[in-house]
Amino acid sequence: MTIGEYSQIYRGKRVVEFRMGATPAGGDVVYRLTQDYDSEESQRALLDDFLSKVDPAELETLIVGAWSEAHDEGPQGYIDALIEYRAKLPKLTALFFGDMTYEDCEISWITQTSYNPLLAAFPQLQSLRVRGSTSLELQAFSHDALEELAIECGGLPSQIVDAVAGSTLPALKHLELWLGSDNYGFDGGLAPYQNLLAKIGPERLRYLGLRDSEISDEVAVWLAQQPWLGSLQTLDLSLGTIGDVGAQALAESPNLGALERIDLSHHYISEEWQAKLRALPCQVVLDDPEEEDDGDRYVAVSE
Amino acid sequence: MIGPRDSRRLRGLQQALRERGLAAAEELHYEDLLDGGLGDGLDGGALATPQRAAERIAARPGALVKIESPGEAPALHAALIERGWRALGASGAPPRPLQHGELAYQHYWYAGFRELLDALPARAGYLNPPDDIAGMSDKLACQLRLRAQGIAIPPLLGELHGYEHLRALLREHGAGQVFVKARYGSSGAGVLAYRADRSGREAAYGSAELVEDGGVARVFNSLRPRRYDDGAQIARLVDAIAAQGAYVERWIPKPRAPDGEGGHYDIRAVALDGFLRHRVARVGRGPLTNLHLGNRRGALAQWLDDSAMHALEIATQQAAMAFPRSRMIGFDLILRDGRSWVLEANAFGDLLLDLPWRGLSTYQDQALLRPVPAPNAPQAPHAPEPAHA
Repeated sequence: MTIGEYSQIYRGKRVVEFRMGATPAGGDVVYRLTQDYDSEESQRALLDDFLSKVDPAELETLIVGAWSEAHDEGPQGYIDALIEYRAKLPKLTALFFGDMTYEDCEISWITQTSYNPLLAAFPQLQSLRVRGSTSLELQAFSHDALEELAIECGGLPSQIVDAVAGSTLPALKHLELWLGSDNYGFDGGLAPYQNLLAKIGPERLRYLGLRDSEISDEVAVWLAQQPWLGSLQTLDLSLGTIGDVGAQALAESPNLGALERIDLSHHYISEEWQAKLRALPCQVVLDDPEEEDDGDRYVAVSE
Repeated sequence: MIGPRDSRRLRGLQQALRERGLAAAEELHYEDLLDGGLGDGLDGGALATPQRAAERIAARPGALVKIESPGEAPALHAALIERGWRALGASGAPPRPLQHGELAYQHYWYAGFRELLDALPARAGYLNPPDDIAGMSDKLACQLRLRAQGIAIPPLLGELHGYEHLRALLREHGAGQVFVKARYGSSGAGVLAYRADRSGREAAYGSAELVEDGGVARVFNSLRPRRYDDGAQIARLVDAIAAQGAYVERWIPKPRAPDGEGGHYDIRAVALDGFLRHRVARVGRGPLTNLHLGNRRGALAQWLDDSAMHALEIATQQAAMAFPRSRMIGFDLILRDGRSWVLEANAFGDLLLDLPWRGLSTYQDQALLRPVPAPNAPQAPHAPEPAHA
C-alpha cells in the first residue's frame, strides 16, 4: 500500500494549493507549493512567486508538495532559496517537504537531500517533516527550538537514526520515524532505536511514533519494558505489523503510567487481544485490521 | 445492430427499444459475417459474406446502424486473430489457441477486425462509422489524431518496440513515470504503469499477469492489480506486450477522490452527438482506474464545481470533434487544476450499467436517437493502413 492522500489539515489549519501564477486563497490557511510533471518554472521561481503574493514576515508554516521530476531531483531549489531568504521569514517555524501521493511519486522514489544547512539557517524552526528517504542526508545536529521531527518513508536507514541519536534537541516533544521495510532501506533492526531512545531523553517526549515497521512486535515488546513509557502522551505504532505478541506485551506492561493514547492502526492482532487492549485505561486505536497473506505481514507504506 | 451473437451489449439496446415500445433492431452477428462461419480454417478472404451486411443495410434505408464491440466472445476473438494473421501475410507460425484470459496477438486481432470493418459499406446511417471505429480501436493512432486536432493528451513518447526501447525512451524524454499501453487493447488489458528512478530501480503496476511457461512469457489479464519490481520480469512483460503493438505516454498524476475514501480518479465521459451525457468518476487506489478491476465509482456531480463541470463539458465536446461522424464516444479524461487530458477515445464506451443521466441509461439515450441519413458530402477514400508498423 501507499500514500493516497495529501494533507488536508496541517498543524490545525486547512491546506490549500499554490501553483505558479495563482492567487493565494487568503485566510488562515497553510499553503502547499505544488508543481506538475511539466512545470517549467524552477522551485525557486515558484517560491518567489508565492512570497511576492503573501506577507513573508507573517509566514509560519509552509508545505512543499509534489515537485517536478521528484523521482530524479530533490527539493534543493526550495531549500537553497529558503536559506537565502531566511531574514525575510522570521516567523517561519514549520516546514514539510514531500506532501505528495503515489500518483505524483511513490514514497520510496521521492528524492530527498541534506537537511543540515536548513536546520542551521532556521534556529527558530519548531517542526520539520520530511517524506522520502532516497538520498536523504542528515548528520547529528544541535537545535534549541525543534519540537517536532518526523521522517516518513518506506525504509529508514539506520544512519539517519544514528544522526538523530547523536543530536542535541532540548525542545523535542514529537519524534516520529517510519521504519519501513528492508526492501527500501530499513536496516539494523531494533538496536539503532534502542540507542536513539537511550540518548534522546524519551521521558520528555509527548509523542513517540515508530510507525510503518516490519518489527512492530519486537518494538512493542521492548517499549513495554521501558519505565519512561508512561510519561508519553501518545505512543504511535500504526501502519506496521503488530500482532498478538506486541499486543500482549503492551496490554500487560506495568509501565503504561499516564499514557493517554496508543495508536495501533493497521495491525494483525486477534479479536481476543484487541478486546484486552480496549480494556486498558487509555485509548487504544485499532483501525484497519489486516489479514496475514500466506503467513506474511506487510507494512502499510513501503513502495 | 452488428455485434457478437448473444452479446449483452446488443441485449442492452434491444431492451431499451422495447421499453420505448419501438420495434426490435435487426441483428447481424459478426460470426455470420466471417466466411463459412467460425472455425473452418478456410481463407475465403473478405469477399462473399460481408456482402450480406451491405445488402441488409441497403434493404433498410434510413435505419440507424450500430456497430458493437466484438469483445466478450472468445471464439469470435480467435477467428479475428486468425483472419488478421492471414491479412498480414500469414508469415511465421500460425497463432496458437489462446488460453482463458490470455492477452496475445492483439495486432493480428486488430488486422482481422479492421478487415471486417473495411468490408462494411463506408457510408450508412451509422452511429459510429466503421473507419472511425478502426481509428479508435488503434489507440496510438487515436491519440495522434486527437493531438493533431489540438486536444490535450498525455505527452506521447511514441510507439514501443520492447523493454530496452522503453528504457531508451525514458532517458531520451527525461521521464520517470509512464504508462505502457497495448495499442489495440481495451479495458485496461496490457496496460502497465511504469516507474524508474536514476538509481535504476523500477516498478510496474497493472492487471497483467506474467506467466512463464517453458521459457515462453505469456500475459494474462487478471482482475487483481499487481506490482512488479524485478527488472528481468518487467522486461519480459514489456516485451510480451510490445510484441502485440504498444505505445508509451506520460503518466499524468490523477486528482485525489475528495470523498475521504482514498484513491485517485479519472473520468469516463460519454459524448452523444457531440455533447457530454453520461459521466462517472473511476476511482482507483492504484494507477489503474478501470471499474472492473475492483475500483469504485465516484459521485462526480458532487466532486466537480460548476466551473469544473463546465470544463468537462467543453473538453468532451472538443474531443468529440476529432471524430465528427461518430455520434457516440466514451472518453477517458483526467481533469485537474483547470487542465484536462484525454487518455482514450472509445467507440464502444457506452457499457455503463446502472449509470443514468437525467433518468436514462446510455442505451435508453440511444433508443431516442433519430437516424440521421448519411451525409452526401464526399468523403476521403477509405485507405486501410497497415495494422502495425
